[in-house]
Amino acid sequence: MISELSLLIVLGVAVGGAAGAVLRFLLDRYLPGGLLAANVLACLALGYLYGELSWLAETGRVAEDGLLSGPVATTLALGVLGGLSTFATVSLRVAQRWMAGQRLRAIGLWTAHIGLGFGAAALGIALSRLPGLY
Amino acid sequence: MSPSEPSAAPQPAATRRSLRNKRQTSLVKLIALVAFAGACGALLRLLVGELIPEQGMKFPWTTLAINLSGSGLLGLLTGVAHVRPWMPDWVVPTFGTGLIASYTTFSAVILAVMPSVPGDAYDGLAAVTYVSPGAMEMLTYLFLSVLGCTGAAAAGMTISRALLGQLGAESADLRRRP
Repeated sequence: MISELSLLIVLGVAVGGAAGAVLRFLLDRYLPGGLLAANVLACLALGYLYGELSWLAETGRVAEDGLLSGPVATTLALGVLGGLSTFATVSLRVAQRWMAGQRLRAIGLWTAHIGLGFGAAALGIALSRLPGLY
Repeated sequence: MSPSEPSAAPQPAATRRSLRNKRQTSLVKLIALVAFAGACGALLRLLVGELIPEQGMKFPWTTLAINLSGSGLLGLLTGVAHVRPWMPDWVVPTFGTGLIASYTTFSAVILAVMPSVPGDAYDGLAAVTYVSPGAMEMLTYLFLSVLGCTGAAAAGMTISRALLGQLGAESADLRRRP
Protein backbone atom coordinates (compact mmCIF):
# COMPACT_ATOMS: atom_id res chain seq x y z
CA MET A 1 0.00 0.00 0.00
CA ILE A 2 2.83 2.39 0.89
CA SER A 3 4.19 2.17 -2.61
CA GLU A 4 0.85 3.42 -3.93
CA LEU A 5 1.29 6.67 -2.05
CA SER A 6 2.32 9.22 -4.58
CA LEU A 7 4.11 12.39 -3.60
CA LEU A 8 1.11 14.29 -4.93
CA ILE A 9 -1.26 12.59 -2.48
CA VAL A 10 1.09 13.08 0.47
CA LEU A 11 1.45 16.77 -0.38
CA GLY A 12 -2.27 17.14 -0.97
CA VAL A 13 -3.21 15.51 2.33
CA ALA A 14 -0.67 17.65 4.19
CA VAL A 15 -1.89 20.92 2.65
CA GLY A 16 -5.53 19.87 2.96
CA GLY A 17 -5.06 18.80 6.57
CA ALA A 18 -3.47 22.15 7.39
CA ALA A 19 -6.36 24.04 5.76
CA GLY A 20 -8.99 21.93 7.50
CA ALA A 21 -7.34 22.25 10.90
CA VAL A 22 -6.98 26.04 10.60
CA LEU A 23 -10.62 26.41 9.50
CA ARG A 24 -11.76 24.32 12.48
CA PHE A 25 -9.47 26.25 14.84
CA LEU A 26 -10.94 29.59 13.71
CA LEU A 27 -14.55 28.33 13.71
CA ASP A 28 -14.14 26.92 17.20
CA ARG A 29 -12.44 30.07 18.47
CA TYR A 30 -14.79 32.71 17.12
CA LEU A 31 -18.15 31.00 16.56
CA PRO A 32 -20.35 29.58 19.29
CA GLY A 33 -20.92 25.98 18.31
CA GLY A 34 -18.08 26.28 15.83
CA LEU A 35 -16.85 22.75 16.47
CA LEU A 36 -20.30 21.38 15.65
CA ALA A 37 -20.32 23.53 12.49
CA ALA A 38 -16.92 22.12 11.47
CA ASN A 39 -18.02 18.52 11.93
CA VAL A 40 -21.38 19.02 10.21
CA LEU A 41 -19.76 20.87 7.29
CA ALA A 42 -17.24 18.04 6.87
CA CYS A 43 -20.05 15.43 6.91
CA LEU A 44 -22.02 17.37 4.29
CA ALA A 45 -19.02 17.69 2.00
CA LEU A 46 -17.87 14.10 2.48
CA GLY A 47 -21.42 12.84 1.80
CA TYR A 48 -21.52 14.89 -1.40
CA LEU A 49 -18.06 13.70 -2.47
CA TYR A 50 -18.89 10.08 -1.70
CA GLY A 51 -22.22 10.27 -3.54
CA GLU A 52 -20.65 11.96 -6.53
CA LEU A 53 -17.82 9.43 -6.78
CA SER A 54 -20.10 6.41 -6.42
CA TRP A 55 -22.43 7.96 -9.02
CA LEU A 56 -19.51 8.33 -11.41
CA ALA A 57 -18.42 4.74 -10.77
CA GLU A 58 -21.99 3.50 -11.22
CA THR A 59 -22.43 5.17 -14.58
CA GLY A 60 -19.03 3.94 -15.71
CA ARG A 61 -17.55 7.42 -15.90
CA VAL A 62 -14.39 7.23 -13.85
CA ALA A 63 -13.14 10.71 -13.10
CA GLU A 64 -9.50 9.99 -13.86
CA ASP A 65 -8.73 13.41 -15.24
CA GLY A 66 -11.83 15.27 -14.14
CA LEU A 67 -12.49 17.66 -11.32
CA LEU A 68 -12.67 14.80 -8.84
CA SER A 69 -9.68 12.79 -9.99
CA GLY A 70 -8.01 10.35 -7.61
CA PRO A 71 -5.50 12.69 -5.94
CA VAL A 72 -8.05 15.51 -5.72
CA ALA A 73 -10.65 13.26 -4.08
CA THR A 74 -8.06 11.90 -1.63
CA THR A 75 -6.84 15.40 -0.81
CA LEU A 76 -10.38 16.57 -0.14
CA ALA A 77 -11.54 13.52 1.79
CA LEU A 78 -8.45 12.60 3.80
CA GLY A 79 -6.87 16.04 3.97
CA VAL A 80 -9.39 18.88 4.16
CA LEU A 81 -12.43 17.03 5.52
CA GLY A 82 -10.40 14.75 7.80
CA GLY A 83 -8.60 17.79 9.20
CA LEU A 84 -11.82 19.79 9.51
CA SER A 85 -13.73 17.10 11.37
CA THR A 86 -12.58 15.76 14.72
CA PHE A 87 -13.61 13.03 17.07
CA ALA A 88 -11.13 13.56 19.89
CA THR A 89 -12.21 17.11 20.76
CA VAL A 90 -15.87 16.11 20.96
CA SER A 91 -14.95 13.11 23.13
CA LEU A 92 -12.92 15.36 25.40
CA ARG A 93 -15.66 17.97 25.85
CA VAL A 94 -18.25 15.27 26.52
CA ALA A 95 -15.89 13.65 29.04
CA GLN A 96 -15.30 17.02 30.74
CA ARG A 97 -19.03 17.66 31.02
CA TRP A 98 -19.67 14.15 32.25
CA MET A 99 -16.95 14.41 34.90
CA ALA A 100 -18.30 17.81 35.97
CA GLY A 101 -21.68 16.20 36.59
CA GLN A 102 -23.46 17.67 33.56
CA ARG A 103 -24.66 14.29 32.32
CA LEU A 104 -27.53 15.56 30.17
CA ARG A 105 -25.35 18.16 28.46
CA ALA A 106 -22.76 15.47 27.76
CA ILE A 107 -25.33 13.18 26.14
CA GLY A 108 -26.84 16.14 24.27
CA LEU A 109 -23.47 17.09 22.82
CA TRP A 110 -22.94 13.66 21.27
CA THR A 111 -26.56 13.53 20.13
CA ALA A 112 -26.21 16.90 18.36
CA HIS A 113 -22.97 15.93 16.63
CA ILE A 114 -24.18 12.54 15.49
CA GLY A 115 -27.71 13.63 14.57
CA LEU A 116 -26.68 16.70 12.60
CA GLY A 117 -23.65 14.94 11.13
CA PHE A 118 -25.82 12.08 9.93
CA GLY A 119 -28.39 14.48 8.47
CA ALA A 120 -25.68 16.51 6.75
CA ALA A 121 -24.06 13.43 5.20
CA ALA A 122 -27.47 12.25 3.94
CA LEU A 123 -28.12 15.73 2.52
CA GLY A 124 -24.73 15.67 0.83
CA ILE A 125 -25.49 12.34 -0.83
CA ALA A 126 -28.92 13.60 -1.88
CA LEU A 127 -27.36 16.75 -3.37
CA SER A 128 -24.93 14.63 -5.35
CA ARG A 129 -27.90 12.90 -6.98
CA LEU A 130 -29.33 16.16 -8.30
CA PRO A 131 -28.75 16.45 -12.04
CA GLY A 132 -26.35 18.99 -13.43
CA LEU A 133 -24.20 19.69 -10.37
CA TYR A 134 -21.21 17.84 -11.71
CA MET B 1 1.11 45.82 53.66
CA SER B 2 2.91 47.65 50.88
CA PRO B 3 2.14 46.85 47.20
CA SER B 4 5.65 45.47 46.76
CA GLU B 5 4.93 42.82 49.38
CA PRO B 6 1.78 40.99 48.33
CA SER B 7 0.33 38.35 50.62
CA ALA B 8 1.62 34.83 50.15
CA ALA B 9 -1.62 33.11 49.22
CA PRO B 10 -2.71 34.86 45.96
CA GLN B 11 0.83 35.32 44.73
CA PRO B 12 1.29 32.08 42.73
CA ALA B 13 -1.97 32.54 40.85
CA ALA B 14 -1.18 36.18 40.10
CA THR B 15 2.32 35.29 38.94
CA ARG B 16 1.01 32.54 36.71
CA ARG B 17 -1.62 34.82 35.23
CA SER B 18 0.87 37.59 34.51
CA LEU B 19 3.29 35.07 33.02
CA ARG B 20 0.58 33.73 30.73
CA ASN B 21 -0.41 37.24 29.70
CA LYS B 22 3.20 38.11 28.93
CA ARG B 23 3.68 35.06 26.76
CA GLN B 24 0.46 35.38 24.80
CA THR B 25 1.15 34.00 21.34
CA SER B 26 -0.13 36.07 18.44
CA LEU B 27 -3.00 34.73 16.32
CA VAL B 28 -0.83 34.59 13.20
CA LYS B 29 1.73 32.44 15.00
CA LEU B 30 -1.02 30.22 16.41
CA ILE B 31 -2.56 29.76 12.94
CA ALA B 32 0.84 28.82 11.51
CA LEU B 33 1.41 26.30 14.33
CA VAL B 34 -2.10 24.82 13.96
CA ALA B 35 -1.62 24.57 10.18
CA PHE B 36 1.69 22.74 10.52
CA ALA B 37 0.39 20.44 13.24
CA GLY B 38 -2.83 19.86 11.29
CA ALA B 39 -0.82 18.76 8.27
CA CYS B 40 1.15 16.36 10.49
CA GLY B 41 -2.07 14.98 11.99
CA ALA B 42 -3.65 14.36 8.59
CA LEU B 43 -0.44 12.70 7.34
CA LEU B 44 -0.33 10.53 10.47
CA ARG B 45 -3.90 9.39 9.80
CA LEU B 46 -2.99 8.67 6.17
CA LEU B 47 0.04 6.68 7.33
CA VAL B 48 -1.95 4.59 9.84
CA GLY B 49 -4.56 3.98 7.12
CA GLU B 50 -1.84 2.74 4.80
CA LEU B 51 -0.24 0.51 7.44
CA ILE B 52 -3.59 -1.02 8.45
CA PRO B 53 -5.67 -0.78 5.29
CA GLU B 54 -9.37 -0.62 6.01
CA GLN B 55 -10.43 -1.65 2.55
CA GLY B 56 -11.93 -5.13 2.57
CA MET B 57 -12.40 -5.04 6.34
CA LYS B 58 -15.88 -5.82 7.57
CA PHE B 59 -15.48 -3.29 10.32
CA PRO B 60 -13.69 0.09 10.26
CA TRP B 61 -11.11 -0.94 12.84
CA THR B 62 -8.49 1.50 11.64
CA THR B 63 -10.69 4.57 12.11
CA LEU B 64 -11.77 3.24 15.48
CA ALA B 65 -8.15 2.77 16.55
CA ILE B 66 -7.25 6.27 15.30
CA ASN B 67 -10.13 7.89 17.18
CA LEU B 68 -9.54 5.90 20.38
CA SER B 69 -5.83 6.68 20.49
CA GLY B 70 -6.40 10.33 19.57
CA SER B 71 -9.06 10.80 22.23
CA GLY B 72 -6.86 9.21 24.88
CA LEU B 73 -3.88 11.39 23.93
CA LEU B 74 -6.02 14.55 23.94
CA GLY B 75 -7.27 13.59 27.40
CA LEU B 76 -3.68 13.16 28.59
CA LEU B 77 -2.67 16.54 27.13
CA THR B 78 -5.68 18.32 28.63
CA GLY B 79 -5.01 16.75 32.00
CA VAL B 80 -1.42 17.99 31.91
CA ALA B 81 -2.54 21.47 30.83
CA HIS B 82 -5.07 21.49 33.64
CA VAL B 83 -2.56 20.85 36.42
CA ARG B 84 0.24 22.86 34.78
CA PRO B 85 -1.50 26.15 33.89
CA TRP B 86 1.78 27.96 33.35
CA MET B 87 2.45 25.82 30.28
CA PRO B 88 3.02 28.04 27.19
CA ASP B 89 -0.33 29.03 25.67
CA TRP B 90 0.49 27.63 22.24
CA VAL B 91 0.94 24.03 23.42
CA VAL B 92 -2.73 23.02 23.63
CA PRO B 93 -3.79 24.70 20.34
CA THR B 94 -0.83 23.17 18.51
CA PHE B 95 -0.89 19.63 19.84
CA GLY B 96 -4.58 19.43 20.77
CA THR B 97 -6.42 21.46 18.13
CA GLY B 98 -3.83 20.99 15.42
CA LEU B 99 -2.20 17.59 15.69
CA ILE B 100 -4.59 15.33 17.61
CA ALA B 101 -7.90 16.79 16.44
CA SER B 102 -6.74 16.68 12.83
CA TYR B 103 -5.52 13.10 13.32
CA THR B 104 -8.95 11.92 14.45
CA THR B 105 -11.94 12.11 12.16
CA PHE B 106 -15.67 12.49 12.62
CA SER B 107 -16.86 12.62 9.02
CA ALA B 108 -15.44 9.18 8.21
CA VAL B 109 -17.34 7.66 11.14
CA ILE B 110 -20.64 9.24 10.08
CA LEU B 111 -20.16 8.22 6.46
CA ALA B 112 -19.33 4.68 7.58
CA VAL B 113 -22.63 4.33 9.44
CA MET B 114 -24.66 5.75 6.53
CA PRO B 115 -26.76 3.17 4.71
CA SER B 116 -24.67 2.03 1.77
CA VAL B 117 -24.86 4.11 -1.37
CA PRO B 118 -25.66 2.16 -4.52
CA GLY B 119 -22.55 1.55 -6.54
CA ASP B 120 -18.95 1.54 -5.39
CA ALA B 121 -17.12 4.66 -4.43
CA TYR B 122 -13.89 5.51 -6.09
CA ASP B 123 -10.96 3.44 -4.86
CA GLY B 124 -8.93 6.53 -4.04
CA LEU B 125 -10.99 7.09 -0.90
CA ALA B 126 -9.14 4.26 0.79
CA ALA B 127 -10.01 5.15 4.38
CA VAL B 128 -13.71 5.74 3.86
CA THR B 129 -14.61 2.89 1.50
CA TYR B 130 -14.82 -0.70 2.51
CA VAL B 131 -17.28 -3.56 2.36
CA SER B 132 -20.43 -2.09 3.84
CA PRO B 133 -21.69 -4.27 6.68
CA GLY B 134 -25.15 -4.48 8.18
CA ALA B 135 -27.05 -1.94 10.24
CA MET B 136 -26.43 -3.69 13.57
CA GLU B 137 -22.68 -3.73 13.02
CA MET B 138 -22.73 -0.05 12.13
CA LEU B 139 -24.72 0.84 15.24
CA THR B 140 -22.23 -1.17 17.29
CA TYR B 141 -19.42 0.74 15.64
CA LEU B 142 -21.05 4.06 16.46
CA PHE B 143 -21.59 3.12 20.11
CA LEU B 144 -18.08 1.69 20.41
CA SER B 145 -16.65 4.91 18.99
CA VAL B 146 -18.72 7.26 21.13
CA LEU B 147 -18.44 5.40 24.44
CA GLY B 148 -14.87 4.23 23.88
CA CYS B 149 -13.51 7.61 22.85
CA THR B 150 -15.31 9.49 25.63
CA GLY B 151 -13.97 6.92 28.08
CA ALA B 152 -10.48 7.21 26.61
CA ALA B 153 -10.53 11.01 26.94
CA ALA B 154 -11.78 10.78 30.53
CA ALA B 155 -9.16 8.14 31.34
CA GLY B 156 -6.42 10.27 29.77
CA MET B 157 -7.40 13.31 31.82
CA THR B 158 -7.63 11.25 35.01
CA ILE B 159 -4.31 9.49 34.42
CA SER B 160 -2.29 12.63 33.74
CA ARG B 161 -3.84 14.42 36.70
CA ALA B 162 -3.16 11.41 38.92
CA LEU B 163 0.44 11.10 37.70
CA LEU B 164 1.03 14.75 38.45
CA GLY B 165 -0.36 14.29 41.93
CA GLN B 166 -3.32 16.59 41.64
CA LEU B 167 -6.18 14.15 41.24
CA GLY B 168 -9.37 15.70 42.47
CA ALA B 169 -7.74 19.04 43.22
CA GLU B 170 -10.08 20.88 40.89
CA SER B 171 -13.05 19.81 38.82
CA ALA B 172 -12.78 19.78 35.04
CA ASP B 173 -12.22 23.29 33.77
CA LEU B 174 -14.96 23.85 31.20
CA ARG B 175 -13.68 27.28 30.26
CA ARG B 176 -10.48 25.86 28.81
CA ARG B 177 -11.19 25.02 25.17
CA PRO B 178 -8.55 22.70 23.72
